[in-house]
Amino acid sequence: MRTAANALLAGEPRALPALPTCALLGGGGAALVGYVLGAASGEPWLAVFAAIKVPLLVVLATLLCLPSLYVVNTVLGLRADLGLALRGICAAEATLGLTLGALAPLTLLVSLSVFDPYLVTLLDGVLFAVATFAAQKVLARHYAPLVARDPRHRVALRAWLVLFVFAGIQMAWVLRPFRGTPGFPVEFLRAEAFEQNAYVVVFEHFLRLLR
Amino acid sequence: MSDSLTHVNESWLATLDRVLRGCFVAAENAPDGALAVPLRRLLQLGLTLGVIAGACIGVYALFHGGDAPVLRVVASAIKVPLLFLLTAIVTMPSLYVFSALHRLPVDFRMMLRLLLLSVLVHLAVTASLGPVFAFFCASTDSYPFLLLLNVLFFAIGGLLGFAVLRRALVAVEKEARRILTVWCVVYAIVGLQMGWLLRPFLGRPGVPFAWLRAPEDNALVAILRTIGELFGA
Repeated sequence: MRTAANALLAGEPRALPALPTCALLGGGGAALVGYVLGAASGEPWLAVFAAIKVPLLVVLATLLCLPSLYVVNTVLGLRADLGLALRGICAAEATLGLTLGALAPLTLLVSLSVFDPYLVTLLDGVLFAVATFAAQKVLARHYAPLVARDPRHRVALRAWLVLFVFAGIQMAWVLRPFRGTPGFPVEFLRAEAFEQNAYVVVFEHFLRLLR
Repeated sequence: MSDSLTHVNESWLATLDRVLRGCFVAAENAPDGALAVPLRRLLQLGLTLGVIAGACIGVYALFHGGDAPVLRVVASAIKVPLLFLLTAIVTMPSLYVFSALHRLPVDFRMMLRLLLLSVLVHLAVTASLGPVFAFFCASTDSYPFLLLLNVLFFAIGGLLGFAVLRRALVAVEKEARRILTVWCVVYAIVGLQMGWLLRPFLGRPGVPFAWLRAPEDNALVAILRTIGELFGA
């Protein structure tokens, strides 16, 4: 398993571990961090829900962006390399989960040390940002030979990052709660899951801050 | 060089001596992957040094009263090794992922050994400052002064441990050292906060003995407050 993790993180396109191994590494890490996030509430079911929802978040956000990947690659005339691009994305998502898992102990420490809910949310944002950075680094490595062959691949690579982050943030909002809020019932999804937009909420928070 | 691989039956002090001299992490031993350190020996040494360092901190209770003074010494002696163990457990996975991500030529087991070596230096320095701390415990009334002195002694140990780790990776490229520096900052913050979570080590006079206290605030706030206490009211 350790060799597989090494190979995954090194991002050598030819040494990518088999798909089930990638899924296990990424899914395991994401589930672990989900469990830690949910367990912070002290509600055992919330921990289980969150352990399901973090891997779900990664998978759903990826699936959501795959059609656009196909279209972008086709429009740019890069269809022939789609298979390699998909392998890279598979590696990137596994890296995302694995990095999240590696940061799980730090997340636990944050739960025990930070009591300001806004700061906790901010640090959770940093957690996901760091993991996304790691994933993008691995993706860039898989893309390196492609970019060398055709610089247009660079456009596809950046487009993926922008779209994935954009969709991922809203997906995380829909799938909330992860940590849970005291006083709210323990549930898999909030009743109003599909009613709000993460960006609008953040924008409104900013406005309230300025007022 | 190669003789450093064969000293399995040497005394604990001799192993410690070689750890402090940086023999195990000398450039010719480190990069080939197999860092030749008896792991069990290092763990035993770390535990012993931690107990010594902890006991020296706990000595505070013997001089400043309070209930269960002996139990306080025992608690400190247990909690210092625990502090280092938990800090390592929390920071190790991220160090591994980021060094693998940057393709550093060190694998997980070697990383573990390197970390253990630097922790051992940290513990050795802190334990060696233990008698000084115990002396100050015996001769100082000011609780905030001792608290800050304790933090300072741990920080000195940490810096020297970091220096050893840095020396070990000096042969590796610049990227490695950058990751290591960032990681050491994370390690220091985690260690500080872990120490805060595992408090009390000294035990504020007048507050009844407890193995652990409920989480509140964080270490940085507490240190600033203690500095204020020392110079202010």
